Amino acid sequence: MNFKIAFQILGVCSILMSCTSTPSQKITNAESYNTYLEIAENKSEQTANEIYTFWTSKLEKSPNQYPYHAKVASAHSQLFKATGEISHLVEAASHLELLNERTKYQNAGYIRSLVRNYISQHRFQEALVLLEKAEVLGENLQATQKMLFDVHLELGNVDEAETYLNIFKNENSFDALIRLSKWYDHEGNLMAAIKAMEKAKFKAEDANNNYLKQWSYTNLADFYGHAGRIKDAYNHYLKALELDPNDAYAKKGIAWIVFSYEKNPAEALRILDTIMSQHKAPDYYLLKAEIAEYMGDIAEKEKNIQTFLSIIEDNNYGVMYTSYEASVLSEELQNTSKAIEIAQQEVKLRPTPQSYDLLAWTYHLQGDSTKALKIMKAHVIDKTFEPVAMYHVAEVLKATGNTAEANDLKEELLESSFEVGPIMAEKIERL
Amino acid sequence: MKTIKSILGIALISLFTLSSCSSDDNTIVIDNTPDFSGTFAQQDQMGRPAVNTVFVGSASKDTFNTTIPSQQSAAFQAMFETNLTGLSPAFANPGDQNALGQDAATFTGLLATDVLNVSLDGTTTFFDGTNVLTGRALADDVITVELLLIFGGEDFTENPNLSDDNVDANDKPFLSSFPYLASPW
Amino acid sequence: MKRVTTILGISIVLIGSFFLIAADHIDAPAVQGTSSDITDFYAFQGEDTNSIAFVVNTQGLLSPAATGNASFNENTLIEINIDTSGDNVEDLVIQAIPRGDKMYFFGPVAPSATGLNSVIETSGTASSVDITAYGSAAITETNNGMKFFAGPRDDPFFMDFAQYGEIIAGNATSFNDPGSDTFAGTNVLSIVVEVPKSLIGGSGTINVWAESKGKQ
Repeated sequence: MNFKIAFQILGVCSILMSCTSTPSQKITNAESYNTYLEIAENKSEQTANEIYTFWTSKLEKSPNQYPYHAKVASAHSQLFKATGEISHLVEAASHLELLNERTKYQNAGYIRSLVRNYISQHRFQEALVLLEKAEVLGENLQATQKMLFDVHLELGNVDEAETYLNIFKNENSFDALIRLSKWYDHEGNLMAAIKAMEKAKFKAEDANNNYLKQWSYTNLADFYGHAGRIKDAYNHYLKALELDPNDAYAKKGIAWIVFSYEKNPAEALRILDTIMSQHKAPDYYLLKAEIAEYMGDIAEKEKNIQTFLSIIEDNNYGVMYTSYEASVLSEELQNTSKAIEIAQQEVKLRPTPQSYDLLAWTYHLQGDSTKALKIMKAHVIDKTFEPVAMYHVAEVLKATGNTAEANDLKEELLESSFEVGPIMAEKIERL
Repeated sequence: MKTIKSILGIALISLFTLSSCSSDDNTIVIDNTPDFSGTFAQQDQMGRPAVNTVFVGSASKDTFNTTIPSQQSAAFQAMFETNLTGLSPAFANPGDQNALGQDAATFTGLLATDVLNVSLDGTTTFFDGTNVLTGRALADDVITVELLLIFGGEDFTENPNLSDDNVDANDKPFLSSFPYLASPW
Repeated sequence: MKRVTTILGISIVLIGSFFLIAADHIDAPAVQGTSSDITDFYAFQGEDTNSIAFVVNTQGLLSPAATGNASFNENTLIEINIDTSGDNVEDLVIQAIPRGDKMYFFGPVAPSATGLNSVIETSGTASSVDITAYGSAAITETNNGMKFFAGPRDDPFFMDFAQYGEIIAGNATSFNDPGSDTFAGTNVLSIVVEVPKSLIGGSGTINVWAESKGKQ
């Protein structure tokens, strides 16, 4: 049925035909992941609920026992992880803020807990202020330094990030290796990033720490995806699911492989729907919209975009989805002036190459490609190597008459079609 | 322009590996002899209860945890003494002592070396009214003992509001036999 | 708000890249280092008065629901240090390290080097015990006159930790009566070893302390 609609749209059917008629090699096997999709109960959620009940009742009985706030917060964080329900993240923050007020921001461990929460909420500037307090306090200083690296990198403070990296980069620990990996990735050195993450994975396996193993499997899977090693990516998502059958992130990764590599949108949607029955996150709707677009089901696409926009109206999401909101506004709703406002705010909060790319790209969509190019030359080109930003750069180069440079980029972008997905791959094709 | 070349290179290689990939790459290695190799570096240490919490400022905690006991007194006694006299009215004046007859310097000299003294010749207890620091038994109310030594003054009567946390026993009875600790909740 | 464009050809990419979202939303796990913290250390004469029992606890404030998922870190060596000569330098160590479902023990043995860095002293008496699973009866093992246990137990510590913190922070000037046991109803991961006194000095006073050491 969806196929029929697609056929009615001139100029598109040929693309779809070429996509569907030359399927990539099949990598996934529904039999091996179905068991995880069929899991009726969410065990992590149940456990987190029991933990939550335990600590809240203790806290009610003895309200002066402030360490319990840390435990209630931790239960909320686990619930957020298990269900995606954003209110848990905000609840966790309020307990951690209370805890830190009670201890007058003199306990570095409690400060770091709050910082982790702020990082999840993308409140990086507040996180930085707190980490600087914790740095003065000491008390597991190495942990504070590692988080300072994280936050500086998120804020686009590359030099500061590197200064902290230099403190621990030769440390052969899981915590150091995952950050070294992140740094290599930031520099566009994917091979080195993978190597460091593989070492971290061995560390997690060596420690036999299920949580760190699961974390490193999904992160490594993402990197393998970047590198076009789809089979390896798939296998690592499965390894994560072996440890936690409810791992929504790993399931989403498999859905992406099924959609982007195997060009099987219906199966990808089936996977997504089972994830969404247990786990909430606004970005699932964007993914569904993209799949709907690929299937030519425009009504379904619109519906999902509107759902996304209405969900993120929830204030609890804060600034977590603002960059996506800007993209949707400018690309789908032609509301570039609002999008520019958001993008400018994003640049202010987080002056990273990605934020500048968002701003430049929005100017381009508004028709000011010269301004876009100027921003990109100053803040994007050579500073990030993410294919989406590269694609934006190529479009802007083309629009400003720099055809040769745009073509150079196009050649390279063509190789990242799995990671950007079929819709964007098609855009790249037409550069 | 430096772009995404590294991705390109790997993508080509992966095409090759993909086609040669079979599904049996999850070899299970059965390891009968655990690996005990490697060097293990100090992260945390503990002798007496709560010493680190009470007397070591947060800026010094990392160093304290990685200073070997034989060097702790030289490195930390002065800080302990400063923190003790700052914290406890019972040690606010020169000449103040605790019930063991220790002045601030002697008391903190003992505490700064964070080891547990254990007698191999009889009763083992943190303090039972008679024996002092001959071990630490599960039921010992070590916190109240420490509070008394810190706040209780020469005869354990000073600062009564500070010298007992009024939690005197565990919430589950201990076992008389190994492994002694009560079963988990 | 304008309608969503309905022409596929000019719609642009929403997500762009799965992995871009990925990078945004998988935050790094909490920095390790506190997972190896020793919460408590005990040393007392055993039921058999010719022996001393040592208890090393880690991972405090475990709620019952969290206990089943708590596990010892295989990269963390727990070391009981014993000074028999009164110089606060260890003359003997008892080491414990988990591998799979077992906790392995070595010693008491004179360490090949004293101080901050250790290797596992495999020349020492080797013992092991199955790690007791949460909800099961305690599994113990004996070897060479020694007894061994590893697994979750009730946290034996009791203290009004919060009120103490309030006093230190200057928020309160006295303890409450009755106080509130911060650790009531919670569990820890415990290692318990009982050793004949003859293996750790025989008589007199020894100085002991526990260390956690991370694999490099």
